[in-house]
Amino acid sequence: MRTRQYSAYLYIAPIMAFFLVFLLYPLLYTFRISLFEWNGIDKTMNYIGLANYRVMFNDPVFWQSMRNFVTFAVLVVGIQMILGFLLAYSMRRPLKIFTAYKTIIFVPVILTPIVVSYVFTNLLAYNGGLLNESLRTIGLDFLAAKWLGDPRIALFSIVAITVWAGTGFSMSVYVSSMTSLPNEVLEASRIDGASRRQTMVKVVWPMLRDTHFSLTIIGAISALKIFDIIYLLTRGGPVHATEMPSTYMFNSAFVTYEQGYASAVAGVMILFAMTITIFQLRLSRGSAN
Amino acid sequence: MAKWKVTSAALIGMIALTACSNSNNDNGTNPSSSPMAKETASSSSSTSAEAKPVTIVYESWTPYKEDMDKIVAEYKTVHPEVTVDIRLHANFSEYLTAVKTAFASGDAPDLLAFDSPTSLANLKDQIEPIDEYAAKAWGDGWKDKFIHSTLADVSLDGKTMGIPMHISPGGLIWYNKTMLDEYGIVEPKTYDELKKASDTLRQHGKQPLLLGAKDSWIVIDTFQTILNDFAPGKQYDAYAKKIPFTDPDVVKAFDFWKKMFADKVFQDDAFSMTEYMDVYNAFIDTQAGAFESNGAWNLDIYANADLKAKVDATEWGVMPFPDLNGDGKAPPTLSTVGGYALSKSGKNKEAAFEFLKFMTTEKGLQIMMDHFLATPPTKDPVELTVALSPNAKANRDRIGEIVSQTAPVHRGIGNAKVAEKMYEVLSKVAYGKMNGADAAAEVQKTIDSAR
Amino acid sequence: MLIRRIEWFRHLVLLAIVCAFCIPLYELLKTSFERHGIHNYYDALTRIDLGRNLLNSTVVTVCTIVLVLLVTMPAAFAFSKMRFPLRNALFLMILLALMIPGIAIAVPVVQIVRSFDWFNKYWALVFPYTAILAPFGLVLAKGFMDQLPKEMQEAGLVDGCSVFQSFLRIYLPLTQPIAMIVTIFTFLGSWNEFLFAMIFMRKEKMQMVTTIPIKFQVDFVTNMPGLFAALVIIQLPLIVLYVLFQKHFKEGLTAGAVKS
Repeated sequence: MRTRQYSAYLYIAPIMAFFLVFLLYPLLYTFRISLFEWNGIDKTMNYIGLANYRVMFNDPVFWQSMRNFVTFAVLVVGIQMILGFLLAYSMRRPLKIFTAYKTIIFVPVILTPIVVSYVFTNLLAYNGGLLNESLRTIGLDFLAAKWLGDPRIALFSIVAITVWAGTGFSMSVYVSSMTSLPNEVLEASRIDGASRRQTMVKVVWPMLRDTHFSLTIIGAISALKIFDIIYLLTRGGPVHATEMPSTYMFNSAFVTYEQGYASAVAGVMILFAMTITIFQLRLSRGSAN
Repeated sequence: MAKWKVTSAALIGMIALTACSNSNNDNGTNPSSSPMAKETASSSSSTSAEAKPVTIVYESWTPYKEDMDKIVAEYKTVHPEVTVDIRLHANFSEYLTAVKTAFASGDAPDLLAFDSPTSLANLKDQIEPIDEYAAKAWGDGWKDKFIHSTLADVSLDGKTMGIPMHISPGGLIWYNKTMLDEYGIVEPKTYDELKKASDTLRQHGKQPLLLGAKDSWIVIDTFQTILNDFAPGKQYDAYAKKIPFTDPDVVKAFDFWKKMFADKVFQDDAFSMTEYMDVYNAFIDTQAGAFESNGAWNLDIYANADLKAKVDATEWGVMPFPDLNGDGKAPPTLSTVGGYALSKSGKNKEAAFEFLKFMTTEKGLQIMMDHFLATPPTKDPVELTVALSPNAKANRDRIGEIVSQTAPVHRGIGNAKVAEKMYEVLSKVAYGKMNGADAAAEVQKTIDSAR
Repeated sequence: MLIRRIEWFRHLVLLAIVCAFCIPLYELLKTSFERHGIHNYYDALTRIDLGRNLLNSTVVTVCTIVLVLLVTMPAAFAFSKMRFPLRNALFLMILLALMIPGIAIAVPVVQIVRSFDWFNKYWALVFPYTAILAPFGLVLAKGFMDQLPKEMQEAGLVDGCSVFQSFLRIYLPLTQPIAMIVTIFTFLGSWNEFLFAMIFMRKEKMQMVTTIPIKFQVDFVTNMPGLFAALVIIQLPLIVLYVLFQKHFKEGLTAGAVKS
């Protein structure tokens, strides 16, 4: 019954067309530039082969950015998904107040990075920021920290801000996925004597496996590309504490005028993302069987 | 259900497509598909631009839009056949993104700008030297029109790469005199005085010296000034590889930088604040701090319509950095390199230079100086048409006085990687993660590997 | 009794989370009213050519959404429910598109746009946006379709439908929830996009809504409250869309129940 359906190519032809024209060519262009030494402005470039890659793998800052990325991605994607799921599940009934709640939680997703960074720079300012001043008012002075200026906690502050700005997205995707589940599953408070919590964990969560998968792919890759918020909040500092592959790349393109090197970083980022995705694809296929 | 979806999608699509094509016809006066009717780069003949309509593109991050609009409007009265297309960006890196893309795709503007030895060194391949155009416009002795040091700042390999921007030295400290008077503090002339002032201010819940350390440029400005006090002239020799950067005086400067942070002379959490706007606002608006490390361009606070009330209600002062190493001499200020340049791939260089001339030495200069309140690069003085408050005038004069007392030295670091490394080690030293000797050694390593 | 206490507790926790989310939003609104109060909003509306920019952004965004849906839905169906050689490899390739940072493709895309002569035309943005956002929609739509059972298609085929008809009549209608999500996020991605909007739309009349903040930074160097008022205004359409989308959902919920 299930034979090869070559007509499928017609279905995917449009999206492949867009991909080939707008994305494959730029991808190849990027890889080509990565083999050169170029300041991005001159009319000529110097061919240097794989030298950019060699320098990159010997740069401790590059490895720092990768370490930061892994910490960041695992925390952000994990928290966003779990929190998003819990929120979507708790608000599965169509109450008016839930609509308001969901909108509020979604608004951060809409905001542009300029707004988010300015708001949090103000909120988290060491002196005069709402958070620290509130802590000082209730006597918890010792908790008033340099949220973005202390290398030990800056990364976690960024994680928290990103979670704030992104949970609305995963929540909304879970909301939409849950509508395709049979109603009895969502409404049941007892299935075969199981508690409500067990229903949620053992029944609903696994049924949304494909949604989890979509979200982890999108989440991991978005985390890799995230740039504006980090750059505006900390520039990747202090002292590289929040350096990400994207800020690292920006730096080489716009501060040190090394376009070839920046392209090499972009190339490595893409390859890394591909590896993560292949890995995730394997995992999901494995568990599906 | 499916039908509804498909038809509504098709309907939206149709409406959108008609909207798209209708608006496409709105572009320019001829709704033709001819590739000649383009606004971004002029395609008309390039020899004589007098009678034929010409479009010039000026792309930059400066001056302010309101000033640029005025300049363009004035130019229109003189040269009605020339259309000047202005592309202003919010900041330098956005400007750089745009022009880099433009260069690579063959869409370069006719006129551009640079702001430092770093950007000049990197943009030079795309810049047409103005020596010939200047000689044609002003005669062979044209160089005497300008203050010579400004020309030196915008020259590379003996060629003049652009018309200099106004003179606005860096390496100064501004202060809130009203606040200092309130706490009985006098303008500090030595580091000990500054430290005492800092302690007093902190006692009263105020921040001392505001530094937007999240921005690398102000950190480098500040440290270059410190270096010039401890090791006069030595850093420039080191960048030129004449002496090692690990010179003991340089190391002393790094150690002093560390001391300033340990002494809490800079504001708390300096590295999480940008100079513009965090520190700027903290200094002028919320007035959380008494001193601000900034340059002479800060004079534009008097032209800031938004904060006018606050600025007028306070007395401001400006001073050079105090004597830091105890030899009785204050460090010199830093002379800013900046210029407006002709693009090599522009198709209307004559017309472009004509506009450049107007903008930077004639009426345009007048308009810009009224806003920047700075010293023009031309030897002929420019009378401001705006009225200066007594405080503004006093500070403007003071800056002139400071500059004349010690010759300003070079601002900025030519090699981008050395500049980046400098900022990195300065951050580490400030956070106590590195000592002075290691910091100097790291910078030396980068100088060595730079071309 | 126990159930009601759990209910209360859940509502309390939910309220606490929502309040935590609110705090930065409150700070945003507070800033937009600083210094000049409601005058900031009035200024924002009159000083800049908001109407024109809104129109441009709307046209580009709507075109992009339509194109993305047209391109994504069939592909999602194919990747999810059909078998063909290289299926996984091709899917992975399209995912590649998700991984490419915008700046990296800026120059090549500019060259392409130039060769098609699309500068200062809507197509300069619609096509690149579709290329960038469609893979995103594809991942979401495919994931959603994966959850829809294959039995429906088989039942349809038994009834005499072709594969295409099973796509059009059975699966597509069920994709309403995910189509709405894809719409929302394509809207977001297109409305808030800045880099290409800055590079391609040079004429004032053609500029997008995202380039408005620049005008505030160049004109009013320190006018953050004004800037924020403008940004609040710019983001309002998205919030309205989301509220409508939620209302639509309530129908989706019941429709889903009827179907199963």
